[in-house]
Amino acid sequence: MLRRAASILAISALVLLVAGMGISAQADVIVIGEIAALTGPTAQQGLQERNGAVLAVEEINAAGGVLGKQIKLITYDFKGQPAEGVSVYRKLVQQDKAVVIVGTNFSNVNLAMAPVAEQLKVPVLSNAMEPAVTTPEPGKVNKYHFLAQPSSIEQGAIVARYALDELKFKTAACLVNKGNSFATSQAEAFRDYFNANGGKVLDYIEVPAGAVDFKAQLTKIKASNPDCIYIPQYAQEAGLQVKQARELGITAVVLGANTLGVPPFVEAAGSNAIVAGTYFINNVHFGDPRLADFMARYEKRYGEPVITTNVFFGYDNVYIIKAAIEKAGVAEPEAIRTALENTKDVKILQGAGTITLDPNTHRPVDMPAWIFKWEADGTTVPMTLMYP
Amino acid sequence: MLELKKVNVRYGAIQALKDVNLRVERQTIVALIGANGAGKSSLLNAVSGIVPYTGEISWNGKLLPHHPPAIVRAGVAQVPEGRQVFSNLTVYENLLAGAYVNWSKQRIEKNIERVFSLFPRLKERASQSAGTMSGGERQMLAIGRGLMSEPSLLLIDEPSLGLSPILTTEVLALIQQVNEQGVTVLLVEQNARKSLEIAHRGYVLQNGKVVMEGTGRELLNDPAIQEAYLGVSGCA
Amino acid sequence: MLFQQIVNGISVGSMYALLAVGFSLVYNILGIANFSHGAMIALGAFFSYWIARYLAVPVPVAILASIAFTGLSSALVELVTLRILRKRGQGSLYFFIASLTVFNLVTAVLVYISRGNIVSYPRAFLSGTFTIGNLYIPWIDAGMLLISIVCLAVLSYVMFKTRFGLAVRAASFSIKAAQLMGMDIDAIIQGVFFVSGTLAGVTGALLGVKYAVYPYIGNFVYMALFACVVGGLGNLTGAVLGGLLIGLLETLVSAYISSAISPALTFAFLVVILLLRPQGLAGRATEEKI
Ligand SMILES: Nc1ncnc2c1ncn2[C@@H]1O[C@H](COP(=O)(O)OP(=O)(O)OP(=O)(O)O)[C@@H](O)[C@H]1O
Ligand SMILES: [Mg+2]
Repeated sequence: MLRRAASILAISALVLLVAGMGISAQADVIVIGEIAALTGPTAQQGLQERNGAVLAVEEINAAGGVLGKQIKLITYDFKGQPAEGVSVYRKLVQQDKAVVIVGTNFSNVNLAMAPVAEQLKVPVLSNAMEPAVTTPEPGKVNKYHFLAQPSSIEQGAIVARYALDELKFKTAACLVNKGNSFATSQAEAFRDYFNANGGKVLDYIEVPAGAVDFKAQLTKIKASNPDCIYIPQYAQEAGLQVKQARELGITAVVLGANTLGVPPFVEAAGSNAIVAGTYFINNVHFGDPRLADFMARYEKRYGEPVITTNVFFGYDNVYIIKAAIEKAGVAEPEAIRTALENTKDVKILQGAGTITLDPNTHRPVDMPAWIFKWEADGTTVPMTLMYP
Repeated sequence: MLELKKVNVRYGAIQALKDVNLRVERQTIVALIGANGAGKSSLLNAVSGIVPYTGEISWNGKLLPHHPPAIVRAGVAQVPEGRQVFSNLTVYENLLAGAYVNWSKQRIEKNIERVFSLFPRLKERASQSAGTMSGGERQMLAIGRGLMSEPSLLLIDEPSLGLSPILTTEVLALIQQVNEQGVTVLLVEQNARKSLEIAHRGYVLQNGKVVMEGTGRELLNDPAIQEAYLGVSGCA
Repeated sequence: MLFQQIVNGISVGSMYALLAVGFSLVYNILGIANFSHGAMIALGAFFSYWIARYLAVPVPVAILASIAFTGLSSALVELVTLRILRKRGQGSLYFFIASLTVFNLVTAVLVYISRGNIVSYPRAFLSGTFTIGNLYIPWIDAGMLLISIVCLAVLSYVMFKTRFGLAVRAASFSIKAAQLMGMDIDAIIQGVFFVSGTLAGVTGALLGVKYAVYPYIGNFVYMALFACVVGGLGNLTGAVLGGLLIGLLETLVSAYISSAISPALTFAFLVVILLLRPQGLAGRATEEKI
């Protein structure tokens, strides 16, 4: 019995070894690893993110590749679990010999991956907005982690500034999922900016992760009657919160994160009428004429329209990597890392069209985002492009 | 007539009944005596179909099925050891539970009247929770409940358990009365003397085997029985 | 604000109550915590959603169909797990594990089918709110309270006025004695699973309407367990009281202490109850079964 188990183990080890050699033997390809949410509640975003990355890789390879080599993209699902994110990061580095990794836009996942990346020394370009992903403490930067969109501090502050300056609100309440650093980091930034610039956050309420009933918290918010409520949660959770707020007769304007521009938000809220008048932030404005050509290319390639911003995460990240490899002149993790750190004016689709990373924070410098509003007819209208 | 042929009951490694043969003629009382663990309750439970057995058990010439509801419908009811009245139900509901297999309004009313005339106590307590009744009252209720299915054969397991000698005599007299109304009775008793006194015949069970049988009087006068089972009588 | 919070609490609590009663029914007769109840909550939510969406029937019809479906599913679970274990003479621990397995299996399948998505009903049902003075009462909450009252009334009729109910109560005291009365214990247990499944189904469907339909919605079964323990395991009235109490407690703690700590405080409350009154708030010390 034991002996049979041992021989099975030995054979599988051998198979793995041969498979590993097979991959590393292809020295004429550059392996880029991607980690995305291919299953679970955000699968639609994750699948479109992969589509975006694949499209970029196809374009680059068709045009001759990078440094004369073809790019090979390997995508793994992190199954909604930070631990699984760490495990597939290791797999990409150790087994697939990826020289650089893209993903994710889940702060909890990248927070878990960050220390491991520091050990294995293969850089990660992510969209995880929580600042601690790249700067675990003030003055310290994770050498191998980079962010390719405005951080949650910037996004929270932008929304707060919009509420104060454009919507002329004086008071606000925050309802925030305590179990999600994506939400808490934005809510804290919103609160701090709002309070520091003449407004007053009347209630700052944390709810436990996984809650579906927010009536108790919303009733409290209703009693303090703020001008607006900031709910930087994921789409479906935020949808439930808007629905329940309206059920309680709360009329305050709702503001949210870049997760609210998708149909699941409306579906969870119940109807277009319920979400009408809700504002949210996003890096991309799908109707921007500058993007029209890309939108058409994407739809042609996949037979489905661009629905989520993640398409742009996937697509832009690959181009930022391409620029870094070209700058480095060699497809080695350490050289790519150094080049990423010095990313300057690289052309992308999001924001205002270019990205520059700050070597001290590994986050973008002055990258703007749009404020959108949900209309009663189920469309989203861009209000303004705001710089941090 | 109740007839058991080569009945065996086992619980895993324990064999509780070994090739038991036993007969109970119609409208008689048969007493089944034996020490603790002899297999008396197992025998009744085999007849009631709530423990698996091999061998044949027939009532009035027809093999009894192994399915408890069918057995009760065939006219065989049991008043179990420890009474097992439903103490979460009222006295009245306990009687209703006993009438489960012949659930018709008229029959229930008729049978309840019959039980109340046997045990007037129960009538007074009809709407009281059975859990609040005394031991003797519970025994009466258990017997009354057993009669609600209009059984032709009543299996009664240790009715004297926990009762004073006076109450025991009273309960046994009631059983005799039930028998006189035409119900065949198989009575398990630790109190061998009193039960053999009212029984037409008796069987002695020892380690799962029938070791002796005879009329009530024969067994009462048997020296071996006197030594083994009657010496302790009266101390129940 | 206090009155509004009480309304919120009762609305949540009425659902816990309904769940707890179904949970308690099975506990009563078999003495086991039946976690497949959670699977029935989730199936109730998904089936009524699927029927409403894909067969395009009105939501109430979809809910009724899904209740029948969960009742049958629950009876089926009894047949393929408990029945077999019971015939083999396996202990209640095995059933506890089997029921937990069914719960996790159904959740996993629903995660797979729905890809973990949260979805809402295509057509509004009991949407909107009415007001009484300062109180905002969503129609769905009022509807739920009403439906729980109706369900509890029907259930208490069944339990106290029918032959089946009598058998269930008798078997809850002693399966052996019930069998001696000629009660078909297999059929009764299956009937209890059916009834408990319908209660889980109606709650699951309504929870789906109130919040949204998502695969982990079955986790509400834990609230049913808490409610039962607080009210006194095996006591149907206690289950209802326990459900209302936990709903209120949760809401009031969230409102006046801290919502982030409310689950922790609910657990703490449970522990205190277990220490001070192990028989639950409504329970009496159990009687000897002799
Ligand atoms: N469910 C069971 N599982 C295992 N063994 C059992 C079971 N029921 C009875 N036994 C065993 O079978 C044997 C006969 O038990 P039974 O209850 O029939 O005896 P009894 O004659 O009724 O005894 P008592 O006078 O104490 O009631 C005993 O050894 C008992 O331990
Ligand atoms: Mg016995």
